[in-house]
Amino acid sequence: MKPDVARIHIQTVHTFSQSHTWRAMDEFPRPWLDAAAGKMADWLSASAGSINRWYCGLFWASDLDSIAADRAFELSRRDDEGRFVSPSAFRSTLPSIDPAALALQLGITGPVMTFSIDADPIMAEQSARRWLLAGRLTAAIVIDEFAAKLEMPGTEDRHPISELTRTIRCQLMVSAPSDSSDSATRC
Amino acid sequence: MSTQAQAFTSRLGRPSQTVVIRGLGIWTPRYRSAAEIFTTMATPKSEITPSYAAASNPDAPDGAELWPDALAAISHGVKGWDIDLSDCPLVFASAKGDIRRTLRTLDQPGGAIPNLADDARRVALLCGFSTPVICLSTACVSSLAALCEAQLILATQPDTPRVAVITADLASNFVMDGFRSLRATAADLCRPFDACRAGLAVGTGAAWAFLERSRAKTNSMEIIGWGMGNDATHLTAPDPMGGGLRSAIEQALAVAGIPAADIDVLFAHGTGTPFNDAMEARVFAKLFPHRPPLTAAKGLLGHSLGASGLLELALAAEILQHRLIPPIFGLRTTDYPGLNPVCSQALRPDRPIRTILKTASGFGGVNAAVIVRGPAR
Repeated sequence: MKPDVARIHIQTVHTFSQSHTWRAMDEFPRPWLDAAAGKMADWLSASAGSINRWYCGLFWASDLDSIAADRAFELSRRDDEGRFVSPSAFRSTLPSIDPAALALQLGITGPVMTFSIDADPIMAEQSARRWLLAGRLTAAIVIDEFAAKLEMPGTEDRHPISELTRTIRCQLMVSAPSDSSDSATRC
Repeated sequence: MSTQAQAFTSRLGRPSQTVVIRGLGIWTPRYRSAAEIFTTMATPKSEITPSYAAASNPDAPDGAELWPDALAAISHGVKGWDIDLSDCPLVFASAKGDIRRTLRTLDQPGGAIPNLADDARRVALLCGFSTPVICLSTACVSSLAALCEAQLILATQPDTPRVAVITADLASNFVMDGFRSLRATAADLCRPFDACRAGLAVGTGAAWAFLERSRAKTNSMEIIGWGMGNDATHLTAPDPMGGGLRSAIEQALAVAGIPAADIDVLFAHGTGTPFNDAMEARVFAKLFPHRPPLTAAKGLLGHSLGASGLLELALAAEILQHRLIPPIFGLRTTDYPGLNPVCSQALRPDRPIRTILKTASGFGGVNAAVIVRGPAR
């Protein structure tokens, strides 16, 4: 099979950053993420309104996974009486739960893939390309979530109120029909 | 087949390549091979006990302590096949990875922020991979999603001869407490598809495999179909109508180019929770009216989260080889008349076993389906 990479269009790219505190990352619900998801949902709904959600996938890559939720859940796992206090907190410890929440908001019923990344920021995009080229998809929403690790607190104390900048980049990738003569915006 | 699936078949056409699985291996704390598990499952129930710790025992040892054993087994298993890894991408799949190490690393002053990709790199280093590592964490469908990803790598990168998939998830206290908090665990036995099922049991497991493009007939198990679908209905509960699972199965059938009637065995996710089993039963009854035999493994092994899909696919290979379907451990009486679960004794059907459907579903509404085919005899 010879993939036809020229038939993939990146229609829209949107990037925004959000600053919040390390402590805020531990809170449930996580308002900073809800706010970010809300922004993305609004934007994606406007951009992708005409796309068949059955042929659309969501590809999410993050360099933090669910680490804040992990730590918060670990600290709250049992209360003084040995009970398990927070089912919703446990749910949030899955790296794939934030993409799932976004897919739920957007009504995406194609594949929802979650990648843990370090140095390779295009892992989700590469996967989306594969699904567009050889899978069933005609559209893919790609979201990369980066935190500036050097700005993370933690050299002496893990709980300071200091700022973390999280950058979220969204892309909408569309596979053009085979009879399309349009040129790709980027391949 | 639904209109959407028909459209998909039309869009994709027939499969252009054959992909076989080589070097398929598994590890659990009790079992070291799929053949050993298969033999155990086919043994009369009174002689065996499940291999997971009961959720009613909160003082059970932390399963996370077994990570070194799992890593050693993976490394030994991968190297044992003497496969050239120099041009072999690795897809590592796990729902939670080594969460205890992650949290400890996080609490070390000055340490880097750890993530699952660290676990993937650790596995790659131990096994001798020098190629790119893709780290997937798609809840309990992680390893089946990794198989789909590996298929797509082979389909889109003609110069890549093979892709490795490695998966591991352990019954850490972290995960055990999480499922307890959700009240999703059975007090004692996990009983998939049983009328009295009361929840899942968290298990431990690892598995590894190489997917290779093949143009010649081989004696290896082929992956002939795959698909994924998302419910988009709820963050933890499955869609009662099974929309995502149905979509995944229909895609897999379309990729395989076979009708549902050609599926000889259903190898369910079968967590033993009321909601999951009900959802699966509804989808299976709808899509497979010929009621192929249904089996599941989590009654014996517990639910090893993201690793369970590939681990159970190794058991599917045993079914194809022995032409014998093991019973569902823990199942006494089912309340799903539309299903044909194998109960009490292993089943050797009159009809030859060529194709098996393996499914998985997970938190967030993710679903995956893989169809495998054994060699013709």
